Amino acid sequence: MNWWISAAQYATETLALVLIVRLLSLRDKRESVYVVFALFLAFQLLSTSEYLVLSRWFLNKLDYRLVWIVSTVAGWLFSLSLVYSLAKAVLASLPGVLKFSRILLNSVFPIAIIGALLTVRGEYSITGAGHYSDPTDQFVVVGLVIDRAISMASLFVLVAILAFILWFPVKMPRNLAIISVGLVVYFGSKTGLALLRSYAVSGAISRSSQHLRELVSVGVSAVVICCFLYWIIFIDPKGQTAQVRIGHSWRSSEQGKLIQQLEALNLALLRNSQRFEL
Amino acid sequence: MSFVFVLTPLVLFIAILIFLLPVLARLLRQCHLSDVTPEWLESFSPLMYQPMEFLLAEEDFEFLVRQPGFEASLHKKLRRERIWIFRQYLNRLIADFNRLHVYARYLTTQSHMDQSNVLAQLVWLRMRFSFTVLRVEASLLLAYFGYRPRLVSQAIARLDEMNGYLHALAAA
Repeated sequence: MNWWISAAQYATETLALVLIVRLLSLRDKRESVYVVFALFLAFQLLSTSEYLVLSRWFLNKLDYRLVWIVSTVAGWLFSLSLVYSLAKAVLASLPGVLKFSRILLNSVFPIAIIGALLTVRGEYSITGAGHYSDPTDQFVVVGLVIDRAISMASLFVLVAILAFILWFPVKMPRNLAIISVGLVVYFGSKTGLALLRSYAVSGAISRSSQHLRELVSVGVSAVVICCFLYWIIFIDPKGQTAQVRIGHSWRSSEQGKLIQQLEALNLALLRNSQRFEL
Repeated sequence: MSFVFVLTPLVLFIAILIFLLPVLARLLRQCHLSDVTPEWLESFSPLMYQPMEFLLAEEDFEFLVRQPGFEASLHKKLRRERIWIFRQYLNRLIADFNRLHVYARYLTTQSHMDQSNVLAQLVWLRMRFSFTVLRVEASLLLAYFGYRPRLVSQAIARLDEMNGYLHALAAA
């Protein structure tokens, strides 16, 4: 099992590096979301190798659990900034209702975080970490549970904003749609697997529960690898300008016809208004 | 006794769900922008739904009762048929509202000026319309027992309001 975990970690790191290069090579500097996404990935990459670097400086006197707690807190900030900047970029596809969209985002964001944090206490008590003698171990479990809550909040914000966008028959940049779909899968799987770890593998450490924990770790890595591959394959410079419509799909053969139809609709509306005024 | 306490809310919940789901499905049905054609828009008027207000009027049924050779079965048949026609009208009214709403949403997003206030009004109108339709549907259930459906004029007024917003948006 350890061999699988190491292989998955190396694969994740390599793919993260490729993806960072791909994102930074995109020319459109107007979209800060690409830079934020690259920073998020760079942080993920650093957090996997931080212990190796820091242990050299502190000559093995460093407690890895403390390093993990600090880096996880920073990771939450990166996750939330990525979701916020992505939602902001996606909502820019609706220029006529920008004020409404901003109010919506600024309302959904804190509600999602508060709602997700309200679930922390229940999950923490199920893990049985309250009985641990070492307070650092307790903090680690708190960190794991809050990490799941932050993923859940991110998922909720993304789903809410995408549902709002789907409500409108508008197009959005293809890259943003790809990043959004990938992040929904990423945060969704992360939340699901973290809940599985807490609820199905909680309690005393037995051989089978240890095996399940490792399986969950491999599951998370597999999802991350799939998401990274999806982004590497589909995010490209053309996708910054190419538009896609999610939800209200217009068949490509009908596209031209529909544009003519929209112009005719405006004329029809004006004629109808005049008829009623008379 | 505890069995009744558990079963009653459960049955009530399932009954409400059976009533709500088809109505909500019609209300939330995503309308395709290509469904809104210039011909339809030009000929559309909320006035076409005015017959709904008289479909289940008591006067018609009272007139039937006064006729020689009146049969109760005929009365029931007429009421059933009228309710069926009323439901068809209501379904069309919901579909028309959805069409106008999707086009209005499209216009708000494409505007050069910020139309956030209009969108907020559209969202509010949508909620009021949905609530009115749910109440009309509930009163339609009572129509089988001889009650006249209420709030029909309110549903038509909401459609008219929607039409007004669309014209204002197109003129802007």
